[in-house]
Amino acid sequence: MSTFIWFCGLVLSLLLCPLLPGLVGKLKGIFVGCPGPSVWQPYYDMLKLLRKGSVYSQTTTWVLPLAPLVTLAALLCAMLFLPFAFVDSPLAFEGDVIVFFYFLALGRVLGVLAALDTGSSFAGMGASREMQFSSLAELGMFCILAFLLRLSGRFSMSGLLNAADSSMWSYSGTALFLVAIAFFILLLAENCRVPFDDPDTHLELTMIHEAMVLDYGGPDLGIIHYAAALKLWLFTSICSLMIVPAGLLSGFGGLLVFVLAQFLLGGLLALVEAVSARFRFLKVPQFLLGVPGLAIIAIIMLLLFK
Amino acid sequence: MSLLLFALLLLVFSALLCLLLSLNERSAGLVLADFSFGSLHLPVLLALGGAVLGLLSLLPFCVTAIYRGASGSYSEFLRAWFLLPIIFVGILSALHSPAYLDAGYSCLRRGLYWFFFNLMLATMLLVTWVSQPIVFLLAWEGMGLFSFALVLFEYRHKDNLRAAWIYFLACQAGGALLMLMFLLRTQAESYPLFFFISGLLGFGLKAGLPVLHIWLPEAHPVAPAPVSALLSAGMINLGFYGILRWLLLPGLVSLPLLGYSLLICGMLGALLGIFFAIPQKNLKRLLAYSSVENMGLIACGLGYGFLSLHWQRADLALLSFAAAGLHILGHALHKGNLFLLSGNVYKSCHELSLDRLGGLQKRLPGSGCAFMLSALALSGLPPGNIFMAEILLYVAAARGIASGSLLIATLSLALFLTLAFCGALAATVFSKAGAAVFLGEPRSPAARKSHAIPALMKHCAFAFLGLSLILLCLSPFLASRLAQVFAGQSGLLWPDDLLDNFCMPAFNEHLLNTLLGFSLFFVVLLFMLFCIRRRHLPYSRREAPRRFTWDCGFAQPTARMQYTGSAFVQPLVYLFAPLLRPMRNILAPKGLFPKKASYELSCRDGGEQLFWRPLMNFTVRLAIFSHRLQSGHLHLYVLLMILGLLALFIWGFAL
Repeated sequence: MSTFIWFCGLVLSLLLCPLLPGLVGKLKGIFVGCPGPSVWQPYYDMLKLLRKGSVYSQTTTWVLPLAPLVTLAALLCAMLFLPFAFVDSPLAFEGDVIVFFYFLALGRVLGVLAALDTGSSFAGMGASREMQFSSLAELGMFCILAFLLRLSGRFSMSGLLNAADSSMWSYSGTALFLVAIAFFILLLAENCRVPFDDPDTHLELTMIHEAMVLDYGGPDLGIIHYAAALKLWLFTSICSLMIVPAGLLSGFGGLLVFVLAQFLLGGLLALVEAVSARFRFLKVPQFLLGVPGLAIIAIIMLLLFK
Repeated sequence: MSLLLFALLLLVFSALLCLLLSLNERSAGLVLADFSFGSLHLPVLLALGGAVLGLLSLLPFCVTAIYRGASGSYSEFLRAWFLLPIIFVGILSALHSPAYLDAGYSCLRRGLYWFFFNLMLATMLLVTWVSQPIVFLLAWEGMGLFSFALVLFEYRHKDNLRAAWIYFLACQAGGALLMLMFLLRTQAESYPLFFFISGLLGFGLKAGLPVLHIWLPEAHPVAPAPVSALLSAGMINLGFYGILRWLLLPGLVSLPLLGYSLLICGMLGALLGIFFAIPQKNLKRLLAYSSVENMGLIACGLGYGFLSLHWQRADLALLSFAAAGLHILGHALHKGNLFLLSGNVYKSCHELSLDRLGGLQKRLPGSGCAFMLSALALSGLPPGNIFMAEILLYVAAARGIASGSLLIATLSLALFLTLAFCGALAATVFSKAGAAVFLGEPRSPAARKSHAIPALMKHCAFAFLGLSLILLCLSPFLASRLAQVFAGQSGLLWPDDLLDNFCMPAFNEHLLNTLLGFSLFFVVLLFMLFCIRRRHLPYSRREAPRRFTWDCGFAQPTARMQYTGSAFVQPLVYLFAPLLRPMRNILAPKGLFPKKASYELSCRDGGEQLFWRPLMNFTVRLAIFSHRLQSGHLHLYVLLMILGLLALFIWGFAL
């Protein structure tokens, strides 16, 4: 039964993930005082792109068309380890956390190689920034993992994320709260959301992710959009699974809580995007280095006061 | 033993024969007329055959020693483990060499190359084999000398002389330290610490531990590509062989000392290596720094393993030893491959500077694919060999964090974060290297005029990839064998340190088997996505129209507009500027119609900058200061002598 619920969570994630950026767009529109695009807009965009043809630059090689596929395949592999709907993944094993984040890194590296494959200076700029920020983000991410590891004592994605039951919140709530904030910052950075990158900008010089994919079109771009939405969904799931105490509701109730938490986080994302502007690029590393700082403070609290 | 004798005789014989035949142009020409085998001269063929056959003859020994595992002897297993990379990389480097040395080298120089190459292989075999200290020392020195001669192969450039000189000094210093170690070994009870330090420094010089790594980034870019491959994949590992074989004396070297020193050296080495790999502009220099990083990670694995034994955590020890062992093999194959591929690049356009290459994927498609795959594997990304090794170490560190005391948790956390940060930076370094060489547009006339390379050079890369695939599939088996052997041996070495009820659990292969399954799943998934993309979605790459890269309406894109490798890493270099201390050389544009402008960013080596140069400066200043004593006045000398004698008297009486 529980495996079935997990599987439902997996399928729902695959189906609903483009809804999250759609929701963010809609809410952002409402926040700034206009009706905003439909929540289904990302679906329309992807379907349109999948029907279109593409043009390739004559500079490019096989890396460019391969990269979106590798990114998508890596995300699909990685998501098998997440405990959807608070049910331990049936495929979980000790160390799957590393597999999860290294698969994400594989997708990112291929994206960077594809950007450099075009020989475009904008794509190179985006790739360079992506690598700089993500290597700092990786440090923060592993600090957070170390905290969760110490808290839960289990080194699998399911173990780490289902650790926070209500008793955990009562005796190490402060530390957990710090880590949740740190992770939310990473979520913004890794998914190229507003304070780090503006997905809606039209100026190539100021973009990260969008600059890297300038030379894509047609189905490839559709796959990239889907992969980006899936990645956002995976990160928000980690965040919601980490914060919401496991065992609040079981069975289909858990599934409901999970999806609700996802969309609440989407709302929070829209709020952050509506009220803040993009950082200067020189500020970003300082902000990102705050994440391991927060996480290490949390670890020290855990080590000393537990 | 007879196998080894056969291999050694074959290698030495072919080396001598090759030298003799090529001493005389005419005799070489004579045999060439009769025995030309494709484009290979007879002496080359003899040397090549000797090297390949000699190395191949040792393969059965390695296979049986590793297969027997714990039921065989420790030293035999260790020997086999370190011989394997030498055999594979040796054979493929030998096969790569004739094409690399094809044009523009005189008969005599090629003869000399093969003479030294085969002797270097022979001494490397001898180093792994012998059990008498004196023979070991001789073989070790010989290995240093012969490889020095090979590093000096392109002796006409002035910079190369300096690099080779540094390498020579490093070899000699290492040899001297090891001599001291073997002298102290006979009375190690009285000076255990001296014995340990001299051994660690001596072997560390070969293995490229931090600060001692100074020769790696100098010697590798200068040496011919096959020699760099052999140095990086076969020889520097032997530093760890030396530590595991000669330094672990029963009851003398204490576990915590060994563990802490290796772990701290390893973490420092891994971080420094990868930090200094970021700004490098020469492809082979970058690869050499990456070797420093990988050696650091191997040292981390070993050190953490010894520390876990000290903490009575056998499960962690097994995981970390297995990680170090797999890392040695994986690194050897992929780094060997990348060095040989850098030889292909050099052969194709006579250029190794990353900022002047580019777009080679179209000229050398096979080499490009192989380079990308090996680079991804060396960044520790799944599903590669290094990933298999790193995840074991990650799991060990994670268990330490989850359930250890404060000290264990802190050290494990440091290791955990080091691994993560090194992984992220290695991905940056290798995407820079791969993209700057093979992707984009050519950045210089040399890269634009690149020409095709002999087929054999390409095929070496595929052989490497095939071997690493086999290694990947065998990794659960290899890891469990390695763990068993180390567990058995550590019980013998530190019977006092380990508790009576301390029992070694069996190594759990489940993790690696699961990982192999997932890797297969990933590949199948990727293939399915690829088929869907190709069959069911419009316009795949083949039939799609071709245009220029989007250039924001500039309408005349040139190769000069694209990002270079240096530009790609510039933000990171500036972020770590306090450590890397980049030097900028700017020629700013002047006037309304500027003619010339340039920007150059370079970084000196960290060990040189922070340690060796200040040390040299201090020595020089000390020498200048003491030079004042040498005044030429006799009475001053007599006074000094009397003062010295007086000091000795007082010391003697005080004792």
